[in-house]
Amino acid sequence: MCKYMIRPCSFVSAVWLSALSGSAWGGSLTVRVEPHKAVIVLGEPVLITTTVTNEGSEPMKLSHHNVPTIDQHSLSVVDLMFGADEENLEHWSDYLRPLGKTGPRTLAPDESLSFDLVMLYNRKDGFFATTPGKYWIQGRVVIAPSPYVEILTTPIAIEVREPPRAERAVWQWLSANKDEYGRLVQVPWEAKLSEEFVQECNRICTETTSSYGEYLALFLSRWYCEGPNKDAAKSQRFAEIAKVKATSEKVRTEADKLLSGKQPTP
Amino acid sequence: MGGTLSVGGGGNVSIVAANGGLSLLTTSALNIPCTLKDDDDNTLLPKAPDTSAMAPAYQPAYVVPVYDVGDNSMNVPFVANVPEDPVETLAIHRWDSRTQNAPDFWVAYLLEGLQSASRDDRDPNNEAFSFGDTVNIAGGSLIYLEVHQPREGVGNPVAEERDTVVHETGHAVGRSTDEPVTDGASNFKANYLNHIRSTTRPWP
Repeated sequence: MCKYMIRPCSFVSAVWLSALSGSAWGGSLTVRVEPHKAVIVLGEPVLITTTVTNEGSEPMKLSHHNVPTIDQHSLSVVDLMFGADEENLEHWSDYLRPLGKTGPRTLAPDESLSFDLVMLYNRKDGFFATTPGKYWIQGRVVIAPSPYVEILTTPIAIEVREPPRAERAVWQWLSANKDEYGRLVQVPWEAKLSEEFVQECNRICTETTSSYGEYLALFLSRWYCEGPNKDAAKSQRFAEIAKVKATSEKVRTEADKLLSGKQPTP
Repeated sequence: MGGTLSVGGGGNVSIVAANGGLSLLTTSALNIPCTLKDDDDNTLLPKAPDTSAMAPAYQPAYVVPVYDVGDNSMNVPFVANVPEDPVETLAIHRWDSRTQNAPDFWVAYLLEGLQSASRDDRDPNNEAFSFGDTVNIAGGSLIYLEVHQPREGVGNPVAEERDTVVHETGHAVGRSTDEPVTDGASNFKANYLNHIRSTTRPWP
């Protein structure tokens, strides 16, 4: 978690838990970026909770970014930077949704916004991590395009490990079907999936103890709730499986949201 | 009870109960005519995007925009809300010159549309709003006319549309998803000038 004051600057060199110089607007902004786990295995998505709070006395205009939000109806004001080299992080895009210039979001004093993001795959390069190692995730909020003001949070390390031997067959299958897997996780509301892919996801969720099962169940639940093949009963069933298999509070929370009456969208 | 009631020119409905003490009539149905109208103006199209800021914007990247490929068709289906699905978005485009795009002949595509997907079309007015969209990797940009209107709270809609055109083509020509693209006044940020200078051709 990181907390900053804003300062007008091209690229803020963020300092851990420190207050930088005051802004021309006389306000301050807190940005939090929290991945659901610090250690994952290859092919495991990262669920990221971001929160932006205006702790100043003046409204602030923040730019929207078309980053992969878990909620299809949400446009985030927090963007993501990512990379294996902490000093050279690059903008993250999943290349699955249109790029758009959007109007700003005004954040009133004391107002707080939270966005749930998911990071797994992009259509240009594939999975965000294909080899084990340490990777960095950084949040970015753009206050104004001119003069350009942005806030960068301190990069957060994510350790990516090889899947255990027993999981390698699943990992290989997910790798061979990374486009469908990526679409299921990042754009379930529009993912057109093959019957074979859905059947195998179902099998992994219900007949194995694979650690990928909690994510496949969670996002199959969302897919049946919002996607092209809506089925309320299956959505609830997979949400229950995800909740049982969940190894993090975040997955449990997302499963609860689906279980608490979220119905398929028309 | 008998008798009928008509409100505001609506059809007659039967009175089924009356309470003189409360001055209350109960009717068998409700029939009050009303007209619901959103603030969209569907007569704004067809219109070509405002490209007047393109030349000065691209000049520092050593690119001269020329509008000579003859692909200026107004015969495009009307879509009230452009879907978010890139495949569905591409189906709306009528980019006949796509195959001409090459390292020695750059082609980008612009189409003026009404508004974006319903989640960010500013209907209702407390929603986020999208000024334009560019399809990742496949290329092609849409400029949304409905949100470039004074009634949508945009201070200078003409300047805003010019900036949107530069912004969206910047994604496509620079082959980049990074933000921000411009300074908000139709001037590319330094990193986008670098993207455009170093690319071999626009998307796709």
